[in-house]
Amino acid sequence: MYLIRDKTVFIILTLILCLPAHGKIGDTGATDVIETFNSALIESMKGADELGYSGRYKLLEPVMKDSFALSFMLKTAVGRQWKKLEDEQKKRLFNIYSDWSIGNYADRFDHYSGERFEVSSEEAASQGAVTVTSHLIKTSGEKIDFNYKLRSVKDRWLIVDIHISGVSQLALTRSQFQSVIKTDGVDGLINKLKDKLEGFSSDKKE
Amino acid sequence: MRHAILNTMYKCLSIMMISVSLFLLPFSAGAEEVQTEKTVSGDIPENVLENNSGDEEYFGEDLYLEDDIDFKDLEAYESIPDPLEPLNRIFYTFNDTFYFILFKPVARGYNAVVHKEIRKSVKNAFDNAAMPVRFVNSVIQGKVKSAGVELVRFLVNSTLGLAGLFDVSEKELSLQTDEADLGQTLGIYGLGNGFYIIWPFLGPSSLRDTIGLVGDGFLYPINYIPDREVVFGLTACEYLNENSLRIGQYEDLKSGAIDPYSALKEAYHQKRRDMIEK
Repeated sequence: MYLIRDKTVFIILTLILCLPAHGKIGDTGATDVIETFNSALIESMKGADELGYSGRYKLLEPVMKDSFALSFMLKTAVGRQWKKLEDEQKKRLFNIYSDWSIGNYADRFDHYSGERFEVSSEEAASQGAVTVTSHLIKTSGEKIDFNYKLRSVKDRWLIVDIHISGVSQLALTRSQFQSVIKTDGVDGLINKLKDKLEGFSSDKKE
Repeated sequence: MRHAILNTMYKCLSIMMISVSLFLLPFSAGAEEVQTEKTVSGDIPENVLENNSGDEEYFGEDLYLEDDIDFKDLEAYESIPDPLEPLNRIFYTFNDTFYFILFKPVARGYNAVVHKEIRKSVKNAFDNAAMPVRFVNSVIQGKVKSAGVELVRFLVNSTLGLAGLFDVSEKELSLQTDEADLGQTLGIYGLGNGFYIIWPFLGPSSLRDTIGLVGDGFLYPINYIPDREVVFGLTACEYLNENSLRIGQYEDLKSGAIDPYSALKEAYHQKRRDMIEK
């Protein structure tokens, strides 16, 4: 009798342990990626004046290159045109896109007023992706949603999109890239990204 | 004569305020959930990130030869149709100029004179008055809980909150309001965007949301005040106040954009889609 009960308990425990733990924070490692990135953003904000734009860029660059699937995001933004590009164009576009992406964060996270990030959940999404829900919490208590989409590559989780207050940042980029490529071509897009990047570094109060 | 001038001034001011408010609509916070299925599909090829170490050329050239994206999946990112783009771009430029030349300086002056807490209270009162819009749309959408919350919030805030000036429901009862409007309701019932429209003064919209905006007007109690001057005055006050709390959001979007027109269009589209799908 005891043996049967012990076996039952064992089977139940085994089943529980084998169940996918949806919603449990940190069970895949994706949350670690987000917490590292969020910490870098806060660090950039806290030291904003001291670091200046270039300092914030240098601080965020390694973290972003380790956390974001930049080439995948670029291809998604460029869309079907990607296949038609020359290798040299792809390379130039990738380099300026990486700089622009990092520059954008260095430019926008340029002051600190007591904000903090909080990760509230990690959930499995379709096709092996993971959604990590986090909030930027201001001192007033106002919460801004920062929801990340990540995919696994060789046992590493990488960010493929961020939804800020429900708005996909990758969709914003894609819409702009498609429009510029349509009117000015890929070289026009590269030039616009360069101009914007130069604007980031020259506008800042360093 | 004085009456006519006053009436005209109210009308102009209210149109201006409405336009700027709608212009900034997509940047307002509040969406709580994400579209979990709409990101990208297909795993990232392994070689893409092998050398992701921070060097200037950390991606090998072989990366660019990879055929790794199923381009059919990009349909999830398709934007709102924009057949009126040439005209819309003209109106975008007009609205942008209007915002920086006229509205922003006025709003800054207002901010300097009226304390933020007072502006928040004014916003609370107008939000409270707009309860029928959210209540009716919540009911039509089948969101019974949201409709109930709206009713309780209205009763509590109208009494204990002194005509809605103080959001006692949220502070004391943790009852938060959900955005609900007719454009959203029509979207939930399967009506598509139609196409993108930028109205002069009124800002970004779609065919569906324009119809919704007109319909919601019939549910807004302030519109039923017999004295039109009072209606225009209150409308102007509401939109000046509302947008005085959002100064800087449009600038943020514009500062990182290489094509602000497309960025605004997509932000609007994404925000509305998120409201419909959540």
